[in-house]
This record gives sequence, structure tokens and C-alpha cells, in this order.
Amino acid sequence: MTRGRTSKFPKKSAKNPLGQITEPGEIQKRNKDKYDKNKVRNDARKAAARAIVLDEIAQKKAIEDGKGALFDGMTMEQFLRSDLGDSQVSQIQEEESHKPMQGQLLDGNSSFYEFMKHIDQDFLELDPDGLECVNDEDKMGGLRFELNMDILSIWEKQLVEEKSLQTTKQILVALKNRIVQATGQPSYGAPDLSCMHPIHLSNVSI
Amino acid sequence: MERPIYLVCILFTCLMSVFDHLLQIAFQNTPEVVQYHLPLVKKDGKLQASPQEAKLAQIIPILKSFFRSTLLLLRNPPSPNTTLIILSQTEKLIPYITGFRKLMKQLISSILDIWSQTDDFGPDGETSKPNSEMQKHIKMAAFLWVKRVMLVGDRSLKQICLKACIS
Repeated sequence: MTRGRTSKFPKKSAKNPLGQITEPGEIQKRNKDKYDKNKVRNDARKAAARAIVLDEIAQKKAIEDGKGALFDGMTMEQFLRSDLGDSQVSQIQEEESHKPMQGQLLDGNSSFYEFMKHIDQDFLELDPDGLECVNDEDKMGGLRFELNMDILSIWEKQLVEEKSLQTTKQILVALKNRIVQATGQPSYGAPDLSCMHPIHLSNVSI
Repeated sequence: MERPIYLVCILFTCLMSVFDHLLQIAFQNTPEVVQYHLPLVKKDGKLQASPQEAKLAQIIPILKSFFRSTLLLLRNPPSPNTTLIILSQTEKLIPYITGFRKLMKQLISSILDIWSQTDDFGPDGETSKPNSEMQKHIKMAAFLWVKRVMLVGDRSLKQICLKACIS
């Protein structure tokens, strides 16, 4: 027996005394999370951030579906700037509570429903969603008015004195509409507009 | 002496229909307004609108609308007088619209159709004098319109005019 160990294949630790203890770089990276000192703290932070994001997504979904609460999507500044006062809030809350009550009336006691019909028909017919009346004319925009000689004289004056481009546009729009109206008639040739009664032409709306 | 003329003008205006008055205002004043806001500039011996003017963006839609209405009226002329006014007044705006090729083609073909119309014959086979006079004026106005295009337009516009004349 010889002293010391002799072998054909020298151990790696002979060259690198710390080789058995230290791991190669790849393994170190893989096990980084295992040995990370701040692992617990980082995990907690990640979980909290995820929860916040999920909460926001759920809120947005609720607002889109119309099921959100009254002040969803509103910051404090927006709320303070808005006209939603206490009276309006209570009105909205009353309207929201009206529908389930109406449903209960219909589902539950039909005799009471019949009684309410006689007493207060408006209560039964109230539809909070239909309270806003939208003016169709406002949607289209613009004014509708009858073209007559007075308006034409005003336009002529503006064109001659001020050379207004805006007035020119108005005149051309009126002209285009009138021409389209005239040429759109069942044609037996060109309609002789000059012989039309002035009253009919004065009732043209733009 | 002036008072009776003034009264005649008022009476004439009252008798005119709203549409006729609207046509008169549109066709008499629009060229003046456009020329006031965007005066023509002589470049290389040709009259052109300056392309760098800021008002050009405002005036282009006005011109397009004006000439589209003109096109509709030329295809369905309400009266010979109106046709004459349209041709004489729109000729002043030709330098502004030489860039709108499609519109120019349509206008040139409509105006050449008007120029090539024959006189209206009465039941006796003879042309009625007022009609023939008016038709001559209209033909002359149409010819001058096309001539203006040939003078102001570039080579492609000249080709379009010549092709339309021949076909």
C-alpha cells in the first residue's frame, strides 16, 4: 500500500480545491430561486400585483357590462367635477330600485298589481331607461329652414360686400340640393323650373 | 329717369322664381369670390392659381361642389338663358380646375354636346328666330369655353379636347 492515493485519473478537486463545493454556472442559475434571500418578499409582491391587475380587469368588465357600481371608473377629481349631486344619486338609486319592485308586483300579487293599475298607472309604466328623450333632429345636426327671397337677398349682400366664403358654401349647398331634387323627378326631359309657381319653390327646405 | 328703371328691377326680381334667383346669385358671384380670395398668377406665360396659398384648401371643395352642380345643370338645362349664364361664368374659373382631370373630361364632353346641338325647328320646318339667336349665343359660349381650356390647359387637356371634338 502506498501512501497517499495514486490514481491514473487525478481528481478534479486536485486542480480546483473548491470544485466539489461550488456548482457550475448553469446549475447556479437554475437554483437561483431556491437560494434567493429575497424569495419570500418577491413572491408576496408578485401575488399582490397580480391581484390588483385582476381586480382592475374585473372592474372594467363590470363597467362594460353595465353591472358596475355607480362610481366605477371615476377618480375623485372626476367625481367632484361631475354634476352628480346627492339628489341625483338618490334619484338614480330610486329608479334602480323601481324595476325589481315592479317585477315583484307582476310576479307576486296579481290582485295588488291590478289595484295599482287603477290607482297609479304611471308608476307601472315608468321606464327609467326611457327617461332621456333624444331629439332626432339634433342627431342630424344643422338647421332646416325655408329658402325665400329674404334669405337670398341677405346672402347676395354678404357675397357682394364681404366676399364671404361661408356664405358661398351655403349657397352652393342650397343649389346642389335644389338641383338634385329637381333632376331626381321622373324625367320627361328637363323640368322647366322657371315656370314653377314661386310658392312651391319658396317652400324648399335645405 | 332712374326711378322707373329701379321699379322695373324690383318688379323683375319679384317675378323671378326663388330657384332662378339662387342660380343667378351662385353663378354671378362665386367666380368673383374665388378670384378675390385666390387671385391668378402668371407663370410661364399661363394663368395659374398659386398652389402654396393657404386658402386653396378652403376653396377646392367649393370649386368641386360648384362644378358638380354645373355638370348636373348642363345635362338638364332649365332654360337657354340659364345655360348661357352658366357657360359664361364658369369660363372664368377654368384655370382653377385644370388639375381635376375627371371633372374636366365630363365638363368638356357635356359642353361639346351642347355645342353640337342642332337648332330647334318649328312646326313649319323653319327655325324660330328667338330660338336660333339664343342657340347661336349658346354655341358661341360653348366654343369659347373649350377654347379657354385649350389655351390654359396642358398637353393632356388639349388631347382630351381634341379627342372629344373628333368623336
